[in-house]
Amino acid sequence: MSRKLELDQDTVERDLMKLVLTVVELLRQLMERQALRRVDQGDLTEDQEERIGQTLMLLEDRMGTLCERYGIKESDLNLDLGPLGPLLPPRE
Amino acid sequence: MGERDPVTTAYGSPSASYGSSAAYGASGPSGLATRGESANLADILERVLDKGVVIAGDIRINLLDIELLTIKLRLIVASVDKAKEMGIDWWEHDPSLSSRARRAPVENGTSEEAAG
Amino acid sequence: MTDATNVTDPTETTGPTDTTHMAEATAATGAATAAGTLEYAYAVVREADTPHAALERVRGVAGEPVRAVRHLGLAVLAGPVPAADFDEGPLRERLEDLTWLEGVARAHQQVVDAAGADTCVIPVRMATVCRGEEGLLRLLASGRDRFATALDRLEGRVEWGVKVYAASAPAQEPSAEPSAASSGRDYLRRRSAQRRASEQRWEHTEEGARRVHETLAAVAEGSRLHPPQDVRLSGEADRNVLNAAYLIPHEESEAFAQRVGELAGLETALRLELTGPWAPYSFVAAEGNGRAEP
Repeated sequence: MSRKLELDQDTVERDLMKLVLTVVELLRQLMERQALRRVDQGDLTEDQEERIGQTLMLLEDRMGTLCERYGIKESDLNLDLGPLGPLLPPRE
Repeated sequence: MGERDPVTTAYGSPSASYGSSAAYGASGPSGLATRGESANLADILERVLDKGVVIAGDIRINLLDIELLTIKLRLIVASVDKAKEMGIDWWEHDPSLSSRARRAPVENGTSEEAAG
Repeated sequence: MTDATNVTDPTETTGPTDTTHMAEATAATGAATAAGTLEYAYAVVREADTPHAALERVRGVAGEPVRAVRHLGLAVLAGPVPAADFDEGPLRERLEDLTWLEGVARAHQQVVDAAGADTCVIPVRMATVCRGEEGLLRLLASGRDRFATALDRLEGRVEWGVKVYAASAPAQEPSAEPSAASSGRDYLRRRSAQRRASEQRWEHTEEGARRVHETLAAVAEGSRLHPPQDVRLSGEADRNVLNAAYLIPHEESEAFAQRVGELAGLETALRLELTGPWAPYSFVAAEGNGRAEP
């Protein structure tokens, strides 16, 4: 009842951002894990490591900024996939 | 912490305190504290909803079909098993990505032997 | 929703109605009640062990008195419930209402555990509803062997629940802010170290939980692992890493609780919670954690 069409611009934008950022965060986490594994395996050159590290660092930084701008907490970045559980693993 | 005296309240006369609970904190001086309130909803639901003997009543309700139970509760009470059944808990197989709380921490090997 | 004008249900009729119609309606309802009162089943006991005192104290899920219906040396604890809530259609709908569900769950548990305090009970799963006493008798007859076996096996035993939580994370590792990294490689190194640290913390927690479970399982007659509880239901902030139930002879309850207390003292990285004693819900099914199907 009380939720009828309160489609004010900010809410829509914020929810959309939340969705987008969640997907980006998922990709970021996957890339980071992949990167760490490759580093552990030692099959990257120092230069490659540096570039990947820089990229991930930047990405994390930007995520923080964007979350802040839209008033989204990091813990908000998740999706409930019903029977499959949450999209992102719980934060450690 | 103010409400200590757990051994007598919680265990002194077990039959008188059905459903009560006691918490042992890591931090307390004696490592012991009680919680007066009755068991939490999760404790109760996982017993009355998920356990107990299942017999055919005349009213046939498949609890698993209930939407709310599916969406809000069954997942909450039993999300692990469900996701695993479906083989979709993909992050479990990635050690660096494992979400440990989502699985039972101990192998079921020793655990399932009930008396009899 | 259904179009009211097409519905002939007399209870929907508003305003003045002719009296013959009313009388018919009442008669029909009366007949339905006599033939098909709904009976909600809570638990099964041995007839000889019917917990009369407890039954006088408790009220059921609809606030109704709970009685014992006897058959074949067994008795099922049950109470009449209104069809408006517990017939198939309404029940399905009502179960969607979390508040209603919680009320029924708690009332169900209270009946079972009150009865179980005095005697050995086999809890029946929530929302088991029969049509009339005949339905309850059928229920006893059809489950007779299973009930008898379970009663023999669980006589004098109670269930204790033990949950282990990872004690609140150590004041957020100081290195949690990797943004201070001086280079890309440095960043990766820090992230890697953080992961390892948190992995290690989890290993310790899990080892602790395993020790707790092994110790308690060794003194218990049986044990069952339930899925860790979700914060949304338990309201606990810390992560639940062990959620187990142990079957303990009634008279050993105190010793068991003491053992849990000792473990809590030893496992300083964990927080332990003991609940119970419960009726042996988790141990009704004889083997596995599967449930006995009809």
